[in-house]
Amino acid sequence: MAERLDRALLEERRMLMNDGFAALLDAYLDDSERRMGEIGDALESGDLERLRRAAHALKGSAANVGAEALAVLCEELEDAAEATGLDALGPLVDRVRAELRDVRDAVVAEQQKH
Amino acid sequence: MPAASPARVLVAEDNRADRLLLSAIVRSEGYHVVEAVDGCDAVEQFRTHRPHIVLLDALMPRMDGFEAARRIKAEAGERFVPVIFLSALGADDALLAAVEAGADDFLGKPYNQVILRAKLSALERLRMLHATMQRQRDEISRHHAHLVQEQEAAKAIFDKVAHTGSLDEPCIRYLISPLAVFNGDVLLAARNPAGNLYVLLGDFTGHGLTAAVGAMPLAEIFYGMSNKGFGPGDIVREANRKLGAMLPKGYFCCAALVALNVHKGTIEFWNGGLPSGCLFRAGRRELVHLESHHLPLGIQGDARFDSTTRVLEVEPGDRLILCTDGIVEARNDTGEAFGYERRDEIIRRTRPEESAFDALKHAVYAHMGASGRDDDITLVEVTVASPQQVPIAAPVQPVENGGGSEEWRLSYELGPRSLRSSNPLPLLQHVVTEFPQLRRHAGTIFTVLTELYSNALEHGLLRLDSSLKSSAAGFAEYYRARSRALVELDGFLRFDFRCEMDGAGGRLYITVTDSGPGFDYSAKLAELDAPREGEYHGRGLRLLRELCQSVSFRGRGNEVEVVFAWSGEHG
Repeated sequence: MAERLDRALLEERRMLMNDGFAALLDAYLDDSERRMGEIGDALESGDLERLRRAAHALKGSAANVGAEALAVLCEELEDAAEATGLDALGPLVDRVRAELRDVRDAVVAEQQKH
Repeated sequence: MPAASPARVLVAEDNRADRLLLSAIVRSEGYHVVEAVDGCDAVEQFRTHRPHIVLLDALMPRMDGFEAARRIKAEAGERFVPVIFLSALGADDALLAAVEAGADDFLGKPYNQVILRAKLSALERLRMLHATMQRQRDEISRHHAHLVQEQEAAKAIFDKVAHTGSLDEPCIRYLISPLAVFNGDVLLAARNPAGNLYVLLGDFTGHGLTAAVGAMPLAEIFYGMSNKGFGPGDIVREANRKLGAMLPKGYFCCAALVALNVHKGTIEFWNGGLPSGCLFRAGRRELVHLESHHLPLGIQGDARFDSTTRVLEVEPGDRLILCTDGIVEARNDTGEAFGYERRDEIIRRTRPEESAFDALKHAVYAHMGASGRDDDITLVEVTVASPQQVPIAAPVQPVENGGGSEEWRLSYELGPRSLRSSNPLPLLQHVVTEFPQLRRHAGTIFTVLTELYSNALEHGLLRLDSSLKSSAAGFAEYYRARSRALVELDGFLRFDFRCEMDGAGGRLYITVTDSGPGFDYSAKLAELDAPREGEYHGRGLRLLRELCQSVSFRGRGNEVEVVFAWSGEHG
């Protein structure tokens, strides 16, 4: 498994947040779960704009915790939601979901380290 | 860096994790953080906490960052509140929308502490600069308002001092901006005790209050002295002295003063630095320039100041025009000045029954066009009235009968030095009007005194030949000769007054004696009884006989006595 999180960035965040670091990671887990849910719902209901916005938000928060690969995938999804039809989005959403799962595992592992 | 009290920064972001992170970064830079969870909340928090800098996520529920930015900018009004948009907006149109909504900067994710620090401190400096600029602008506008207020107060005071005097009389037409005093232009008109019309046009250097301060003493001197019977030369001398003492170096007043005596058919003028005035002899269609022969008021010391006036003859219907340089320098679209030639041409073309004033005014405005019109145009036209239209003496306020003794004698003798340098009439007028009964006739008495004085001085002492005045050229020569003779004058002139009461009425005997050789008055009196048409000399004597109960010569003709009588009835 490739490195899911940017270690250096995460270390910077920890220095900055001090005691708030755990809360920050908790918030990320909540936010990302909610966004992923939104993406799934939007795909089902065919709401491309909602899907694009949720992907955009997921991308931003992924970047902020150093989940670079996830951020890149989210950007792909965000662009695809604008450019391609609904049918082509399914596999991309699946890839985002899978990557997010790995990121979340890494985040949880990070929490447990301290 | 934030100063003593930290600047407040609003962080509006709907992702909780991103919000926590950003707030922590901003806080670590020393700012006070206010958080908002969406666009609506951001606007509300802005209203409540008045943050100094706003960080806005572009995509937020309920209200997006674009709308929130617009509302916050509107809410801030004149205050500069920098807005940083969060999340790198990839597409150009989204970037444009953010800028249009009021974005001052952008910050992408992942958030970078160093970059954010740089942006915040740059915007904070900009904000401070803006606030300083606004403070200075407000200060300037406060100063300006104060200045306007001061000018209004100054104008109110000036208007009281200057009032309109005689400007509203039908023989005068004038054009002057209500705020002209701040352009330095002053127009004054008054009648002296004998009813002669004095018009003064002044143009002070400078603008604003500096130009206006000199106008007040000038107006006071003009009204005060013309009212007391001083001549134009006395008035400009006093004005020069006062302004010279008062005005700072480099400030002065170009001015022209004209005194019109319709009974004698003369104007007496002094022009120091103003554009030449115009005397238009309507009947003869002749234009005479009233040139400036002197330096403006307030430049020369009293000893060097030349108050010599010039005298020209006028006839009813003649026009007298004075203007400041605003007219001759008025420019059209191509920068061409209106100039003297255009002015003179328009005046020359005026028909006798027309007013040169209207023609000039329209021509100047037409020349300038709508764009160039300013308030710097000051113009006055006086039409010479016929003697019948002008009462001999200015009306005097009736006064309550003071009673007391009004039987008195007074003798006042002037030697050569006094005769050369001063005019005794204002003093005598002042003495005479101290007596309540005589005050009612102050104007008439002033006219009588003026005639007696000029006869005794010009003919008795200076030996001037009044028949010179029969021609227009001789008229000018007469006044030149008068100035020359005055310098070499030797002798004296004496006024003897005797006042007798007779019930409510009375008589004032005025005898004027000069040290000259006298003249053959019997021939003169015979001539007076059979006057020839168009004769200039002898007008004075005829006037005396109209105003007095009797006029008689004595001695060798160097002594004249008039009796001025009045009855108890008013009028």
